[in-house]
Amino acid sequence: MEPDLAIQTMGLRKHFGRTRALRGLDLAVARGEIFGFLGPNGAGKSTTIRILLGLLRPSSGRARLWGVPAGTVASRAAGKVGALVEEPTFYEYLSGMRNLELLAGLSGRVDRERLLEVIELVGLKGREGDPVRTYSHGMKQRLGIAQSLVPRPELLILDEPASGLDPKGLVEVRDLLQRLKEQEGVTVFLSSHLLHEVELICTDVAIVNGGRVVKRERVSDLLSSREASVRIVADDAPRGLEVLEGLAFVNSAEHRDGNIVAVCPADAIADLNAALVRAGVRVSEIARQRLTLEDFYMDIMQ
Amino acid sequence: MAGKPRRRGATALLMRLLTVVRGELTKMLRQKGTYAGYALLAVFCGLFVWGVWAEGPPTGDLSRRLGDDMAVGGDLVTGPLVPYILLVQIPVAINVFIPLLIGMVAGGLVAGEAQRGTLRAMLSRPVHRWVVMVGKLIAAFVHTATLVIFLGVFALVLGYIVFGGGDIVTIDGGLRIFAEPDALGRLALSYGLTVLLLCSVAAIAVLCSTVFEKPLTASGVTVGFLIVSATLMVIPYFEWLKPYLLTSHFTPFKHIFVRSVDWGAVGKDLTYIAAYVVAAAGAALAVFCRKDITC
Repeated sequence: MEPDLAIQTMGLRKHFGRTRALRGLDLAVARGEIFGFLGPNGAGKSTTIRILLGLLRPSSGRARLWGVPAGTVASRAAGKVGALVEEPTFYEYLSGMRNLELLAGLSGRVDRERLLEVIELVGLKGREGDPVRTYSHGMKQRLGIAQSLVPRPELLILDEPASGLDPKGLVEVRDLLQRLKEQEGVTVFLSSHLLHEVELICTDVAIVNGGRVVKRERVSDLLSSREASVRIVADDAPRGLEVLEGLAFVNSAEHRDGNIVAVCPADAIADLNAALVRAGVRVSEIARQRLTLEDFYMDIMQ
Repeated sequence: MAGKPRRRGATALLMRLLTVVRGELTKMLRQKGTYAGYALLAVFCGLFVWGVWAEGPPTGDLSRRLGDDMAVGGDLVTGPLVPYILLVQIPVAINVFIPLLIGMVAGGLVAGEAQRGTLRAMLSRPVHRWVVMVGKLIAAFVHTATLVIFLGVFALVLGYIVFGGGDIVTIDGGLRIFAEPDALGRLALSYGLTVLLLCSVAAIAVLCSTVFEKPLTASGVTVGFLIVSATLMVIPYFEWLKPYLLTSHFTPFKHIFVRSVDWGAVGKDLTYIAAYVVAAAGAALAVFCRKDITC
């Protein structure tokens, strides 16, 4: 039976001397997900990815790719894992194509047609023969993504793939990942600081901090939360704020850019409006603001 | 029954190893720094030949050493003598110069990749680390061989162009004349032994490259190791250590240019050299296979 979990870590720990990078990280990524792996700098994201790819050895705990212990050649081969670890680096004096050939050679047979295919896929067609030193940062990033796609991976592990890309590049990468998921069933494990991008493409997210997963949710569940952020334009904002602070169902209320921003249950917005009117505060506008992944992220980090 | 799959696995592994070696050699060949080494050797050789040519045949010194009882005539400086002198009479070439060039390239094989960040992309692929390391070691040995062979062939060709053909006349431990065909054979053997000898330096450089994070440190420590080894050889207190020092076995070619080749002495030198190669390569493998790739 084929394992349903593309990635699984159990109690993963990694120490660098006295520094504890991972403190028992538990994670499960199912087949076919586009999984966002979020967290501040130093949270343990890159360490986790390096352990999954066998670049680091865990101090304790277990990590598996497709049910096979991570770090073994079998784990990277059986599941056809493609990876981009941090900023992509290449042999600057060699052409983009030659770089791909060298890396592809390590996975086995080099299929030149496949190399041309991925080069076209990432929008580098026509520049593949140029030395990498003549590439812009964004082009190197595209080449990095290209090399991760060469083995026709069933699991893509991408660490900041959108770093340095222009807006058009961001959209192209987003479309590419969605196409890979939908057409080829590729599982994507995406570490990124671009929360808006993660929100747009990821099905699930885990937020990691201090070497542990502090939140793991489906993105749709997070965004359809029963909590709502409401922006209120009132003639007497200080009085309005005073009224809202006295309401038990209002979780928070603050003055922001001359308006009031309050967080309350979504089904209590009408009650909130009524309370303001009853207190003699004239409300000229009340709008529910869409909660974003960034709101949740910032909330958790605080 | 299990024989065929095992053989197929071994063939696949061998093919992967060849791919790694080819990749490493491609990287070496495409770097200008690699050619700087050959250019320096050519300049070194050229300056030597120019000096000898300008001074004329050095028969004066030979006559003085032979005394008044024997007269020496004819051209003692011949084409084959040039690579002989570079190897046997100018130890700085083998002890320092070529090890430095080896260290510059082999010292960057792991540390350079780590510094550049390409090591993580390489090791994220489904390839055994030991295959990568063995590939790098083989590439380092091939580079070493090409340096030594280049020096020998360039010196010989330049010698023939400037001085023409002839025998090799040596005065080490008495006057010996090696007829040209015999001399060329002994030269080939000597340079072949030098390749094996310097493979130990290449293995040490790869080990240093695996241990240290910067290529410059790796090449510096490699040359430093040879300097310390050579220094210990001349300190009487460390006399007991002398047989085990690598530099004590740095002159296996001296056993070639004698009346009949001293195979026993050559074998002894090669045994020590092989031990250094195996120890350094083994240590490099052990370190590399367990190394955390953090950069």
